[in-house]
Amino acid sequence: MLVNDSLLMTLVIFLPALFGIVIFFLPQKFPEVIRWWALLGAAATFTLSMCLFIEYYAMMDRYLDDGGRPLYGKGNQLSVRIDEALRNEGQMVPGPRKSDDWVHRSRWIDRFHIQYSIALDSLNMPPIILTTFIMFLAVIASWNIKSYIKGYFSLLLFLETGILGTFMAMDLFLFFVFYELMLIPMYFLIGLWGSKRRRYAAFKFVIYTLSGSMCILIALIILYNTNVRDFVSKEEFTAEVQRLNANYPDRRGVPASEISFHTFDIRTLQKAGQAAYLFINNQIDRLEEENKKLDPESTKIPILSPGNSYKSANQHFKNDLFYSKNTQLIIFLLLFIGFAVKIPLFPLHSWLPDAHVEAPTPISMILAGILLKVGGYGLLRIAFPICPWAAEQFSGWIGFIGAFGILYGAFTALGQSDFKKLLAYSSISHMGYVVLGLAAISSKAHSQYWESGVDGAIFQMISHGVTSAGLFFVVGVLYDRAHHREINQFGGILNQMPLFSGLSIILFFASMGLPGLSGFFGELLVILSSWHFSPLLSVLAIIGTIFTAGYLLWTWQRIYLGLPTNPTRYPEISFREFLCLIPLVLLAIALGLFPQFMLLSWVDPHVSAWVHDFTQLK
Amino acid sequence: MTPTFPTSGDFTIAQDHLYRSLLLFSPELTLALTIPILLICYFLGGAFRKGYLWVGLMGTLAALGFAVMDGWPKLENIQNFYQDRIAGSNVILGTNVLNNLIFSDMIVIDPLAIILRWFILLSLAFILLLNILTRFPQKEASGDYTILLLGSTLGMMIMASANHLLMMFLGMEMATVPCYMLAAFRRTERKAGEAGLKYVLFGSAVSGLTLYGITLVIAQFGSGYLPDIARAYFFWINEDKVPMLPSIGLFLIVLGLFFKLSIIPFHFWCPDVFEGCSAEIAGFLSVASKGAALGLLIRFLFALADPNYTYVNRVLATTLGIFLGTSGVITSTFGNLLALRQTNLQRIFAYSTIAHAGYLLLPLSCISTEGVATSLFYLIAYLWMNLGVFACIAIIFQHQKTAELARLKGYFQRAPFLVTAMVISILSLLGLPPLIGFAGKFQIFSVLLSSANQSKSYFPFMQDYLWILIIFTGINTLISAGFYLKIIRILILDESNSAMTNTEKMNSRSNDLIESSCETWPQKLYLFILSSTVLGLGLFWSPLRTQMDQIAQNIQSPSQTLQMAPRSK
Repeated sequence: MLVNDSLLMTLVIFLPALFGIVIFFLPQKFPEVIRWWALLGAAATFTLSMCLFIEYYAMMDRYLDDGGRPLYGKGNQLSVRIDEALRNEGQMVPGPRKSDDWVHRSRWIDRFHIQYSIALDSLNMPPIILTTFIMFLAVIASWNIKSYIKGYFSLLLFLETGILGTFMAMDLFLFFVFYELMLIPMYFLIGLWGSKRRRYAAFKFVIYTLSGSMCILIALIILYNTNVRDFVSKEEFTAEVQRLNANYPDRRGVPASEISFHTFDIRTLQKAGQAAYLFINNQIDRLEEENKKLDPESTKIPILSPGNSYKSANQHFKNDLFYSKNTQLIIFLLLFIGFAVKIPLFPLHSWLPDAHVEAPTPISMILAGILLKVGGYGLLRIAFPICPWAAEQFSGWIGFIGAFGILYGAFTALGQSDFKKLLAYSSISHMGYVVLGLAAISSKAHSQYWESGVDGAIFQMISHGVTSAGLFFVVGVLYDRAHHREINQFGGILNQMPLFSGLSIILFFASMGLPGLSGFFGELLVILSSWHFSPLLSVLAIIGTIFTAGYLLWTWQRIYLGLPTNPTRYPEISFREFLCLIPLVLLAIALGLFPQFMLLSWVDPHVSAWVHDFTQLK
Repeated sequence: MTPTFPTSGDFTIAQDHLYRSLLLFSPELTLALTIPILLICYFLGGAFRKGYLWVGLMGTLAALGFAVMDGWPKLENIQNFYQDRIAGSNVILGTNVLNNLIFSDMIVIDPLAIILRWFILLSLAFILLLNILTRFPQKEASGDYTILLLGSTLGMMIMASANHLLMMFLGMEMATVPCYMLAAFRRTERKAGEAGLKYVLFGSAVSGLTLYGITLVIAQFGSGYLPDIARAYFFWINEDKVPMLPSIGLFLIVLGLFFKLSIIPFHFWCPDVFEGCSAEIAGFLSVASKGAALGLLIRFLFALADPNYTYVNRVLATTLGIFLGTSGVITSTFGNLLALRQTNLQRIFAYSTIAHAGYLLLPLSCISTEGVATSLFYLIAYLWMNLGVFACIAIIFQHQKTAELARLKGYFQRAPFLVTAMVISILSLLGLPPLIGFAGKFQIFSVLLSSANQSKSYFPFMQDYLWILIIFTGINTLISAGFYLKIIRILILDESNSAMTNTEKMNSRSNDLIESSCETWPQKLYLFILSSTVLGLGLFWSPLRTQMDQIAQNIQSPSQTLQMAPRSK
C-alpha cells in the first residue's frame, strides 16, 4: 500500500540512484547529455526534498502545544509518531497507516525483524536539505570533470542515495546498509578523479571508515541481542511466539516468559536504553506503562508497553547483559568510535586532510559539506539516545575531545601552506563545536542550556556544511587558474578577480564566526551552553575562535592582498562558477541574519523533545 | 536373532528398497551415465568430439533437474520429512525405518544432502558453462576434462550424503583423485605439473591418515555406520570415559576433511594448486569441494553432538565447538594475512578461499542449529560471489594469458563490464552491504553473539571465547580489505601500461582465438547473472535464511535412530 508520505520519502532516497542507473545507458559520445541528465537528477531530488520539507512543515505546524504555540505540539514529536505507528502495526488487524505522519515502516527481512523503516523529524530534515542542495551545487561544480564522466556522475548520484538513506533510516540495520553504501562511491570518486596521491588517500579513507563501521556493526549486533520484550506490544510479541513455534517445532514447550524479542528499531532500542539508565540507577520503579494518564508533577516514565509492569521488566533486565554498566559503556564506546571516525575527532582524523587534498573540488565540497555531518548525526540519532547512561558518564571526556579538537584543528591549520589542507583542519576544528555542544549535558532543572548546546550543534553542522562547501569551491576556482594550492605563492587576487574576492570574503568571515554571518550563531550557542557545563571547555572553545580568526585572516591576506605573483592575469569567475558560489554566499548571510526563521524555529521543538527524553530520566 | 531363510515377502521388500534407492539416487546415476555417453562421443568422432562440454552440461542439468524434482517437494513440506515411515521393514536389509536411507543405509538423502546436491550440481553447471565460454580445454582434451570433472562431482555428491565411514572415504577419494589430474591440466605450464604433484603428495598422505582413522574407529566400535558410532560414543561419554582409540580415529577423519576445506595447517596445497591449475578448476575446487566437505563435517558434528538432541553432552559439544572455532579463527586470520603479500590473482584468491573456509567453520563452533544454518547460508552466498571472481579470472586469463596483478594495471579501461562484475563479487567477499557477503557475515556475527549470551548459563568461559572470535572476525574484515582493495586499485585506479597493450595487440594478431574485444556478450551475460544474484540475494535474503534454518533443524541425526532397536549384525 503506497501512501503519500512513504512514497515521497522513498522517492527522495532512491531518485538519485535511478538517475544514476540511467546514466549507464547513455552514450559516452555525448558528455553534455550525461552532465545535464545528472544535473536534472540532482535538481529533481532537491525539488522533491523541498516539497518534502514543505509538507513536513505543514505537519509540524498542525500541532499546537498547551500554550497554543505552533510547532511545539506534542503530536509532531518523532517518538510520539513512531509509537503510534508501532501501535497501529502491532494490532491483530493492523490499523490504517497515516498518510501524513512522515513515518514509514514495511517488512524487509523477517527472519531478523529488520524493517524498511524511514521517518522525518527536525533532526534529520536539515541535513537532508543540505545534502540535496550541496549535491546540486556539486554537480554544477563538476562541469569541468573530463575523464570517465559516465562513471563519475553515476557514482555521485549513488553516493547521494546512500547519504539520504542514512539520514532517513529509523532501523539500525537499514542505517548501516546505507552508511556502508556511501563508502565505495567515495572510494572511487577520490581514487579515480583525485590528484597525485589519490590512491593512497582513497585507501586510507576506506580503511579508517571501515574500522569505524566494524565498531558500529558489532555494537549493532549487541543491540540486536538485547531482549526488548517489555517495550513491544502484546500482539507483536504473540506474533513472534507463533513464528518461533512454526519454525522451531522442538521449542514449543518453552514458556512464553522465557522467550525474548529482538529488534533493530531505533525507537524501541531507545526505550530499552532509557530503562537501562533507570535500572543502573536503581530507579526501576519509575517505569510506567504507555498511555497512562500521569499528573504533570510525576517523575514516572511511560515507556513500557501495555500489560507490562516494572516488576516483570526488572526480572528480564537482570538476565540481560544489555542492562549492565559494562555493556552500556562498551556499546556507547563502539558507536562513538565509529562515528568519531566520520566526524572526524582528534586521534581518528588523519584520513581527512589526505582525502581533502587529493579529492577533486566537488568531492571535497561533498566530503566537508555533507559526509562529516553523518558522524554528528549518528551521535545525535543513535549513540546518545540508545545509551543515555554511558553518554552521561563519558560526557566530560567527549566535551574535552570536542574542545581539544577545536584548538588542535585551529593550531594545525595555522601551520599549513596548502590551502585545502588548511581547510581540512579547519573542518576538524569546526566539527569540534558540534561534539562539544552535544556533550554539554546539564541537569534536569537547567535543561535549556543543553538544549541550546544541541541547537548550536545542529546549527553549526548546517553552517559548516554551507561555508566549507563554499570555501572548497573557492579553492577549486583558484586551482583551476593557478594549478597549485600553495597559499604563499598566491597574491593580489583581489585586484584580478574582484567579484570572486567579494564573494569569498563573505565565506571566510562566515567560517570565522563573524556576527551576522552563519558561523557565529552556532558557535555562540555552543559556547553559552558549554559554559554552564564546564567553564574550562568553554574558555578553550573561545580561545579556539581567536585562532580560527587568525588562520583565516592570515590566509585571506596572503592570497587576496599583496602583489600578484602570476605573470598573466587570472580571468574573473565564469557564470557557472558564479552560479555555484552565490547560493552558498546568500545562505551564509541568511543563516547569520535570520537564524530563528531559517532553522531554529522548527528545529528547536524536536531538540527540546530530544533533550527532554534524556533529562526526564534524572 | 538367528538368520532365517528369506521368504518371498522379504524379497518384495528388498526389491522395493532397491527401486526406491535407485529412484532417490537418480541424480548421481544420471551423472554417472553421462560419462559413458562422453566416451561414446569419443568413439563416434567427427562432430561429436567438439561438444564434450555441452554433453557434460546437458548431463549435469539433467541430474540437477532430477535432484530438484526429488528434493523440491520434500523441502516444501519439510516439517513432515520424517513422518512417512515405511511400516514393518526391518528384516533383511537393516532398519529401513526412515525412507530416506537408501542402499542398506549406506547413503542418506536428508534435507542437508538435498541442498548440497543442488549446490554441487549447480556449481558444476556454472563451471562447465564457464569452460564453454572461455574455451579452455581445447577440442580433444575437453573430453577427458569433462569426464574427470563429472567423476569428481559424483564423488562430492556421495560425500554429501554418506552415512557410513567407508562410503565417506569412497566419496572423498572419488572426489579428490580426478582433481589431481585436473589440477595439472594446463599441460604446457610448468606450474601445473608442480600443482598436480603437490596435490597428489599432500592428498594421498592425508587420505592415508583418514583411512587409518577409519580403521581405528571401526576396530573399536565394530561398525562404520555413523548412527552406530554416535550411539557407542554417546554411551562412553555418558559414563565419563573417553574412548582413546576411536577419539584419535575421529580426529584423523576430521583432519581429512580439514584438508579438503584447506584449514590451516592443512592449507599448503591450496595456493600452489590454485596458481597452477586453470581458474575454472580453482573455482570448482573452492566452491563445490568446500560444499561437500562442509556437509560431511556438519554430518559428523550431528553424529557426535547433535544440537537438536536434548540430552547432548555439553562437555563434548563445547570441546568440539572450541576446536572448530579455534581452527576457524586461526585459518581466517592467517589466510587473510598471507594474502596481503601475494601478487598473483589466483594465489590471492587461494588465500581468500582459505580465509573463507575459516569463516565457514566459525558459526559451527556454536554447536547449534542456528550456527549450522548460518554456515550453510554462507556457503550458498560463497557459491555466487566466489564463482563470480573465478569466472572473471578465467576470462582475464583467456585474453591475457596471465593472472599476475602487475600486468593487469588499469584493466578496467579494456573490459569495463568484466571488472565491474569482479568488483561486485570482491566487495561481497569483503562483506559490504547490500551484497550477499554482508548478509552472511552479519549472520556469523549475530549467531556468535547470541550463542555467547546463551552459553553463559552453563559455561561462563565460552562467552569470553566467543567474544574473542567476534573481535577477530571484525579485525579479519579489516585485514582482508587490504588485499581486496589492492586488487580493485590495480584493476581500476592504476593507469594501464601502454607497452603491455602493444604486446597484447601483437598477440591478438597472431592468435585468432583472442577476440579484439576483451569480453563477449555471452560472457557478459554469464557475469551479469552471477553479480545480479549477489546483489539480489543480498537485498532479500530472508527466505533463504528461513529455508536454511529448517534444513538445519531437519538434518538426519542419530537422535532419530537412537530410539530404535540396535541393528542386526
